[in-house]
Amino acid sequence: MAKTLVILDPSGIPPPLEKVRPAARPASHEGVRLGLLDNTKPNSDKLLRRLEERLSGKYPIGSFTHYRKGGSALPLEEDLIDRMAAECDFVVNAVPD
Amino acid sequence: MKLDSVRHEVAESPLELLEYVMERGWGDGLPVIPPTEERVAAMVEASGRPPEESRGRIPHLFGDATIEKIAVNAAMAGCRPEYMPVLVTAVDAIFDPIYNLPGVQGTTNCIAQLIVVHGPARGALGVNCKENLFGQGWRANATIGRAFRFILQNIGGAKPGDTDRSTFGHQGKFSSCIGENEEASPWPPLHVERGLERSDSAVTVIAIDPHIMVNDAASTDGEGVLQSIASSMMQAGSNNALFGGEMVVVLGPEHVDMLVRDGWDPPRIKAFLYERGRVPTFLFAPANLERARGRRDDLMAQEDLESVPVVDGEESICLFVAGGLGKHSLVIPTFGTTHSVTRKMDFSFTG
Repeated sequence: MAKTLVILDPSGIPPPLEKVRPAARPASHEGVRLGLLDNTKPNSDKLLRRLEERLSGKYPIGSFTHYRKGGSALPLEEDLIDRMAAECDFVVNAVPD
Repeated sequence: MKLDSVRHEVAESPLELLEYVMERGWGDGLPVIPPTEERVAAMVEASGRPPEESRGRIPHLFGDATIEKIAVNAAMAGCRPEYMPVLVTAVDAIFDPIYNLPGVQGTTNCIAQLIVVHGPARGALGVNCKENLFGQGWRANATIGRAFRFILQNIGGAKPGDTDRSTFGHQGKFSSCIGENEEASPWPPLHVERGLERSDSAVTVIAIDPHIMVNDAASTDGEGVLQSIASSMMQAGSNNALFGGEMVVVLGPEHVDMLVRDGWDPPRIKAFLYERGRVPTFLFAPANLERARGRRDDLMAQEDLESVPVVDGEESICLFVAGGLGKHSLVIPTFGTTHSVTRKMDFSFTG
């Protein structure tokens, strides 16, 4: 065999995976509180408005609440996550361009 | 010294090593130096820190940026051990929330990470601050910048064409490391402007788009030079026009001489560039102007907006002197949703 040498692996070690339980699914659409999160990319607001129109004609959704991130390139704000968790049963995040 | 990284037995042949590295997504396409235990241990030793010490977790994959992993990537890039403090400090800097590392790592934009070295470290390490400093020809510049890209790619997991989603990338993603040419102006260097001592060595990290070269050999006064720079900042399609943030202006020494002669100093230069470097609203595509207005509080308030500032304010023009002879300066737009970070190097250099 040709001469060999031993090298060290340059890859980072990711943190151990945590098991996360998905949020409980409501049993019906009746009265659910739906959040619509705009990530600020162009046209995401239009997509979410259209989604609200379509869903409100089809299901007995209780309420629609619109939210907006500080910027598409920024992490979602912690206080906004907390607000949505408190105010919504579902959240739809639109990420168009 | 106990090093924990997984070991790989590879052929000694440089070509086979290159194939091995590229197959695993660790490289940049160019030949690498094998990061052997001996070389990595020398890197760790020169950092003055223990190998297992974590400096933070780098997105996307939140890989642990330990001194050892920084050292492996530095060795692979061809760094000398004494460059390690620059890399460790640069890694520390990008964790500042104002840098917006998750956005920078995940964007479709053309973002490179520019490392600017300040203070005595430049001379001690041989970091080029003069002619062709962004280009080839100096080991410190070439390999420190390359190692930093490897760190983001291999520890952070931003793999080109995969998890690094940049539409175009740019050449600066191979390597971007320069020194400030502190000796070419009477003004305080950037790290001193930001509160450090001139005798400190420091690192500034900036998330940059490609450069715009300003050629003004015709102006015979400072104001003319500044007008040329201001007009090069006016790019209606840039991240800065849309999102504000920070923009970099690198003044070439010959332009600096003219500005100094005419009584300009950094605060006045920044004020001039902030006012003159605005993009007239008629240059924007209407939808893009609306996007800018929707994202920038300072613009929302103005009904009869005639022009858009390309930075958040005068203080968001990151101004420093670098380069060699020639009547040139540089404008370097940034990711917009980012600000540069300067950190003192916890290491003393002489030379």
